[in-house]
Amino acid sequence: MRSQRPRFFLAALWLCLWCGTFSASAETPNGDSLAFMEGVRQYEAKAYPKAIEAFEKVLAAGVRNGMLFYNMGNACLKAGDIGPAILWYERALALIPTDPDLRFNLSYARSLVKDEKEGESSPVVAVLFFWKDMFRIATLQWAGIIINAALWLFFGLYRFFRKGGLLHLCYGMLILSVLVLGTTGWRLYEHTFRPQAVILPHSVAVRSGQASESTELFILHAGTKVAVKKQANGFLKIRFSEDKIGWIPESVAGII
Amino acid sequence: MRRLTGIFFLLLMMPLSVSAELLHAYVDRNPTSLDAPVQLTIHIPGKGGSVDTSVIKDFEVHSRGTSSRVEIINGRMRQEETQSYLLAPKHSGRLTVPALAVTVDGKTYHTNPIIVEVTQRTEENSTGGQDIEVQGRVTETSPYVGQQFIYTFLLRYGIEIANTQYTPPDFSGFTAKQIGEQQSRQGIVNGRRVQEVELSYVLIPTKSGEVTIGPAVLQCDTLERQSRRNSARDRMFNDPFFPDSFFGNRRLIPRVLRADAIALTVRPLPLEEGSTPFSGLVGEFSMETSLEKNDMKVGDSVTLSISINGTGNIMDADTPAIQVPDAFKQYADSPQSDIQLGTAGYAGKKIFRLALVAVTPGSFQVIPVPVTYFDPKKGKYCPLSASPVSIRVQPADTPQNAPVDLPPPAGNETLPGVQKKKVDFTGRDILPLKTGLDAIENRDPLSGSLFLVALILPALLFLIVEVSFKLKRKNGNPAVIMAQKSVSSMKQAARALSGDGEEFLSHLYRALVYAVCSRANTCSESLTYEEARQMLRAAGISEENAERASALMKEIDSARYSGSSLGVPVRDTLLAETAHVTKGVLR
Repeated sequence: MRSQRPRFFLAALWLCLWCGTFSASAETPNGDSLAFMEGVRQYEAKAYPKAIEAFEKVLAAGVRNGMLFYNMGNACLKAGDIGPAILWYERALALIPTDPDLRFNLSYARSLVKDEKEGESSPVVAVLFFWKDMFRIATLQWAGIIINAALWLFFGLYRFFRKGGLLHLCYGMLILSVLVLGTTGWRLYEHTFRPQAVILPHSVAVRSGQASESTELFILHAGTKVAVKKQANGFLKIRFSEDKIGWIPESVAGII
Repeated sequence: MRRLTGIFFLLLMMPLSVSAELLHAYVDRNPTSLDAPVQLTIHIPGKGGSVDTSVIKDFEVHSRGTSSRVEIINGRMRQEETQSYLLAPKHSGRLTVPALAVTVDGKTYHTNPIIVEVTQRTEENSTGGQDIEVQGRVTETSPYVGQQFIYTFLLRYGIEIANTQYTPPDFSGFTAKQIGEQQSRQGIVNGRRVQEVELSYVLIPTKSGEVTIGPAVLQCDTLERQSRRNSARDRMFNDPFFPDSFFGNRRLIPRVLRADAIALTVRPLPLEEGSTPFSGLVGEFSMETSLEKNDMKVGDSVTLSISINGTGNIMDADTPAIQVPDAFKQYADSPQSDIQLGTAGYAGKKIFRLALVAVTPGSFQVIPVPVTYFDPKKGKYCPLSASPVSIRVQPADTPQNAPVDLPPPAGNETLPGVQKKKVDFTGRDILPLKTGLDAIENRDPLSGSLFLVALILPALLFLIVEVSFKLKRKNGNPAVIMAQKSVSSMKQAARALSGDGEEFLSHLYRALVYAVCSRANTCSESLTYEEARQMLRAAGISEENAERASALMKEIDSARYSGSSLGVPVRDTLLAETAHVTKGVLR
C-alpha cells in the first residue's frame, strides 16, 4: 500500500510557494508631498500657473498617478491651456478610467475643442469589447497575474488530488485568463505601438512633409486628439481621420 | 420579322420626338391690370417635360395644372402636354416672362420671352366700387413684446366667385393662432349688398423692432359677363328667351388678390422698477387665493388654491411662490387651466393647488409672494398679489400628538401633480482637485518584463514542484532503493572475484537479498531462505524461480560459513548464476 503522506506534503508545499509568490505588496514611492500640497493651495487661491509649477515638481520626481494627472489637467484648464489640459486628462484616463470626476471634466474640456471629431472607432468593436477600456492597464495586469496564478494553482492541486471539480475550475480560470490577458495584451499593444497625441497650441498647421515649406494640408486646434503613425527627425506623422494625415513638429503635440 | 416589327415601332415613335419649333408658350391677356392675373400656357410636344418657372421674378406663379392630348391623324400619332400657370403681377409696367427652360427627355428647350403690359388697377375694381376686395387689419399697430392682438383678414365680394384658395400671411416674429373658423355675413357697402368673410388670428410678438405682417393672398375665379355683344350669336342669345345663365354667356376669370402688408412697431417691455419680480405675464390679470378650511388638526390636509385670471398670455403663468410655514408639509398638484381663445384673444384662468399637511399646532399665515405683470393698456407693470390666508392648527386627537411624517415616495414614484423634468445644466465648470496624498503614490502599470515574469512564475513553480514530486517519489521508493543496492552489490562482488572469498560471497548474498526486497517493495538487510521464497511468491514470481533464488541464497550462505576456499572458476559460476537470478527477480 502506497503512503498518502508525501502527496499532502507536496500539495502544502505548492500552496505555500504560491502564496509566497504573491505576498509582496505594491511599491510606494516617496513623492514630494509638500510640492503637492503647495499645488493644491495655489489652485484653491486661483493661482493656476503656480499650481502647475508645483504639480510639475511632483511629476519630475517620477510619480505617475492618475489623480495627479487629473489635478494637472484641472490646473491647465483653469489657466486657459486647453491643449495641455486635455493631454493630462487623457493620461489620467489611462490610469483611472472609471473616475467619474475625471470623465466629467474631460467631457467639459472636450466640449471646448474646436475641431469636430472624425472617424470614430467601429461601433461593433466598441460593443463586442465593451470592457476593454473600462479598467486601467495595471488593474488588468494584476487581474491577469492573479487569474493565471489561480489557474496554475488549481492545475497543480488537480495533479495531486485528481478531483473533477478542480479540473472544472481550471477550465474556468483558463477562459478568464485568456479574456483578461488578451485584453491586457491589446491595451499594452495600443499603448506601446499605437500612441496618440494631443495638439497643444491654439492652432497647428498640418503639412504634407517635414519641411516648413511643405504644403499646409489642414489646421488642427488645441485639445484635438490624433493618432501618431511615425516619429522621425523631431516630427510626428499624425492621422486625424481616415483622409486627414500629415506631419507636425513634435513640440506642438503631447504624446498620451 | 422581328427586324420589321422594330422598324415599324421606330416609325411610330418618330412623330413623338420634340422639335423646338413646336414648343410654344403664350398668355391669355396682354395688357392686363395689377389685380388681373394672366394665364400662361405652355404646349410641350411629346410626353411632356418639366418647366423651370423659378426665373419668373415679376409675377407670383401659381400652377394651374397639366393636361395631355393624343391625336392620331392619317395614321400619325401626335402627343402633346399642356402646362398652365397663373401669373399675378407684382407691380405695374412692362413685365417680362423670361424664356423658360423646358426639359424633355434630358434635353433642354426654351420658350420665347413674353412682355406683358401691366397697368394699375382698373376703375371698376378700385376701392369703393370694386366687385371683390380683400383687406388685412390689426387691432394694435405698436404692440409690446408678449402683448396679444388680433389680425383679421376680410374678403368682401359682390359677384360670384369660385375655386378660392387662401394663403395666410407670413407671421414671422409672432406666435400666431387662428381664432375659430371663418365668419361669413352679409353687409351693405355704398348701398350695394355684399358678402363678407372674416378670418382672425391672435398674434403675440416674440421680439421687438419693426416687424411686417406679409400680405395674405386669395386666389379665386370670378364669374364675369362676356363683353362680345355685337356678334349675331350674342344678339341671338341676348334674347330674353335665352338667358345667360343657361347658355353660359359668362366665363371664369382667374384673380389673385392681396391684402396689404402691415408694418408694425413692436415695443420692448420697459425696464422693471422696484424689487417685485416680474411674472412674465403681459395683459390684464388678477390673483385670488382660497382655502378649503381655516381650522384643522395636526395630520389633516387642506388644499390651498391660487387662481390667476385675466386676458393675455395666461398660459405662460408659472406656479406662484408661496410662503408656507414650516408647520406644514406641502405637495403641489398639477395646475388646472381653463383658457379660451376668443375674438379678444386668450382669456381665462389658471389654478394652482397646493396640499398642505399640518405637522405642528398653532396659528399660521400662508402668504402668496407678490409678483408683477405688464399691462399694455396702462403701459406699466402692475402688482399681482392676493391676500394671505390664515390657518389655525389644533393638536391632533391621537394621544401622541406627534408631528406627521409622511413617507417619501418610493423609487421612481412621484406624488400626483409632480412632473419630472430633464435636468439641464444651468452653469458649466469643472470638478475640484483631488487633494488626498494618495495622488502622489506611483500607480504606473507593471513593466512588460516584470509582467511576463509574474505570468511565468506560477508555471515555473508548478514545474519545480512537479519535478520534485517525481524525484521524491522515485527516491523514496524501497523497490528502487533496493534495486540500486542490488546492482551495486553485484558490481562489488565482481570486483572481489579474485580477492577475498568472504567478501565476494557477502556481496553476492546482499545482491540477492536486495533484489528480493526490491521485488517485494520493502527494505531489509537480511532474509531467511523461506522469507525470501515467500516474498518472491507474493510478488508474483513463479514457484520455480522463487525456489531457485532461495536455493542460491542457501548455497552462498553455506559457502560463506563452511570455511572452504572457492576457486576462481566456481566463483565465476556463482557470480553468473547470481547475476542471472537477480536480473530475473528485478525485472
